[in-house]
Amino acid sequence: MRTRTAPLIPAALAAALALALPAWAAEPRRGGVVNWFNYADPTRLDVHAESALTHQQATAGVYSGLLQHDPEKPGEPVPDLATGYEVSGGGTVFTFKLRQGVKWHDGKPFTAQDVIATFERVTAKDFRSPRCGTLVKPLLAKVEAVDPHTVRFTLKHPAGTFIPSIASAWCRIAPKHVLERDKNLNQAKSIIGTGPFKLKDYKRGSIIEWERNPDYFVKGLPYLDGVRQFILVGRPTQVAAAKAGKVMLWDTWPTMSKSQAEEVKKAQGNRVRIYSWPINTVFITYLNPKTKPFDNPEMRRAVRLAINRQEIIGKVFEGAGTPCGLLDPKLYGEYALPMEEVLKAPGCNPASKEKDIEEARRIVKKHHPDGVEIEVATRSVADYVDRSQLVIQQLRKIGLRVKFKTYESAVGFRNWGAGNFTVIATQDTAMVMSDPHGMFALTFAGDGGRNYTRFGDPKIEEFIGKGLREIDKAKRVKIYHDLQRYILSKADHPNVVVSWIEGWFFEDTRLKNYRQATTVYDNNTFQKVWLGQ
Amino acid sequence: MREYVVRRVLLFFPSLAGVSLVVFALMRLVPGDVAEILVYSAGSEQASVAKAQVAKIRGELGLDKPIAVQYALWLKGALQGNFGHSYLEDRPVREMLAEWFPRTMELALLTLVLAALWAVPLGVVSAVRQDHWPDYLCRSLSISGLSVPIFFSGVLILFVLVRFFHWLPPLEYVSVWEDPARNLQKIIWPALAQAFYISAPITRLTRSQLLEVIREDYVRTARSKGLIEQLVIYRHALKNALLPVVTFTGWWVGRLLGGLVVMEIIFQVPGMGMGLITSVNNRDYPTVQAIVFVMAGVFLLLNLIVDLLYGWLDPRIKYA
Repeated sequence: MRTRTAPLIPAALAAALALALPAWAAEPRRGGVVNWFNYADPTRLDVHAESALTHQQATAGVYSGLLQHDPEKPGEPVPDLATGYEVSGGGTVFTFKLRQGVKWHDGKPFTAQDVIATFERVTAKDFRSPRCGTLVKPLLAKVEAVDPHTVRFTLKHPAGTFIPSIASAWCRIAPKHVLERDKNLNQAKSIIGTGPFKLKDYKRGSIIEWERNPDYFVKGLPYLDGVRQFILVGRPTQVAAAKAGKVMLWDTWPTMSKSQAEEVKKAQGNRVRIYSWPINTVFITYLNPKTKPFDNPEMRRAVRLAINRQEIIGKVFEGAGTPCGLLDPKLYGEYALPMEEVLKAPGCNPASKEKDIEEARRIVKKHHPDGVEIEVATRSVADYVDRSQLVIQQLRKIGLRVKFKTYESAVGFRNWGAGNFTVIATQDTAMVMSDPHGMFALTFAGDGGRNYTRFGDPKIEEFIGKGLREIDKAKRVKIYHDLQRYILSKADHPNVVVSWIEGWFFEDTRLKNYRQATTVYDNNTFQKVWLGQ
Repeated sequence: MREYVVRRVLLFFPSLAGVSLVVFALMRLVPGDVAEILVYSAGSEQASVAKAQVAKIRGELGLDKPIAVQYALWLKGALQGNFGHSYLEDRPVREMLAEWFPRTMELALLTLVLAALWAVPLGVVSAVRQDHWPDYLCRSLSISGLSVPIFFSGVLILFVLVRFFHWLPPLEYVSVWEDPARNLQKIIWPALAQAFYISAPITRLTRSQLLEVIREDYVRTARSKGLIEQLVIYRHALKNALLPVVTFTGWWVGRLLGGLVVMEIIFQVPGMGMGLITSVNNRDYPTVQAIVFVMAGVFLLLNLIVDLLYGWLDPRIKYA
């Protein structure tokens, strides 16, 4: 049996890191409350059972995981409730050593039984857990307590996604005694964690407040006395609150436009810093391969050639986006194909756009000499309608007659799920983790939840399976490069990746040691954030 | 009179049942249900799993039962004051209504007080100075109240407060019993914006009623007795002209219960309107049905009270 100790951040390394940080980071200040906002009222708080950011964000600082994404180096899984883990059994057995002396917010001791209860819950057959459960259920064969402070996970097969999944902001550890008492974690009374903050108050439709956990297991943390999330539903209210200095951070969805960020800067001056950042969300146009005219692969190729990604990014996202790529290099690093290679793919090269459009026009003319009418649909949310108009304009250029239809969100999702569409002009998918598996399993696997075309390709499935089972990073990088090359070469694939989206954000300059995470869900705990003068 | 009252009271219940039936049917005619929204909007599960999840949630919520059975069950509960359990909030709908209703009621009443304080004097000035510049000014103001979209006046207030005063009302909602001053700081702005909108018809109604009354014989008699004009207007004319204005304003209370939704969202007041929008978007059937049921009930009740008050306020009115 091969056994290895996973790399952890020992105290010495942490100390070295602290020394290497700028002067302000070395002298954190204790106290203060951060005013933040939540874009909707979460209403139910069960992090295991829900899927929207509003739910995760509501209790992010209250819980801990076995691992977490390093708040100072987002994207790197580091120990949280675990002190470390060992891998054995050819990458199928993970043994986590747990911290001792940790207390739940209600004073009860944290033990291995809480970890077991959590993972048994999210993987239970009858329990719907769209985030954590979806991540770990297909992998996990068994979870057992070795002793009160050691837990062993046995996987069905080696999986490169297991550690990122365990570190996911959705796989938080909940207390067994509360799960047994309340049966779910929907109500505020059930929100008992081990995290840096306790849930102080949740006034529905108004505010969620956290207060410092004085017994937090990381001595000296958190620095803040608390965090307040105002529930601000309307965009004008959100922007007004930012401009009036009532919120100190706008770091996630829904993103601001560049002009809104500039408005905030103008109103707040040097008190805020504005910036753009990728939000690990991909914008895809879907062509239904089961309906005319896109049952013809040539017609799908025509659309792929016609879509001008750079124009869409320029006009809709004010330049903040990464065109065409199947993985965003800013977030997926070496897993992503270099942009120079991506831009050589059919329809992706801005320099040959005129030629591509000409070719697309020729294809449409060849198959539909009298033209053809198609229905392009979108959900009437956020800027989807604006984006769709641009996509439609580009489709009209190649001779397609377009009838545009917008659906209320619920109806749209229903239609996409049932395959009732010809073209979905735009649909974003936010990734739950920054492992490349997520993107392909969700949007390219034939049965993927966000593969609305249900288009399956045995070769793609094979790549996805291999990528999932491989644990050697160099080999995984090669698998995902090959997978991206394969999909990009398939010019008739009905899922047309338009771009990875970036958004505009701001933060109050008094806010220190906050790092934007690699997904919208991670690093919302404020564990190491502090307020300067 | 007694027969009329009994008849009106008896009509109240079938009207309410009718409304509940229409809402119940409409909600189910709209495509998409809560199960589909929950599963498909997450989009993280495999397609085959998602289908099974939708069926499972429908079963748990009783959405797989025939609609007539669902309605009968709901009506039985509603008549006992049990509006069901919200899937969206995982708590009894009754509890949610108990939170939302007083907030919206408070906002509606403040809106009406502000509207009346502003609109009635404007209507009086407009009528007394008919076809002179004060009349034109007052009519322009009331027309602008009607013409400006309600969301625009709300956003405009936010803009002015931030741009010129670097101030914004408190972001969290505090009840009037907890902290009246802070509560007023929060709700005065949506009330003002909404009052600007509804003051227009009140101004116009006051003006037209007063114009009618000041041409009546008894007003002429009052003038010929030598009473000063102010006394003629306020003591004799206005008192009689205001009767339709009072009933119209009362009718607005019912309308505002559902009509404050935009203001509730812009100024973040978690009331009935905001609850209704969230519930409709999420197809939270029990909550939508309960909110509409309560709104319709209040509306019908206010109409009934207004009708009955007519006879008491104006003894000349006889009920057939």
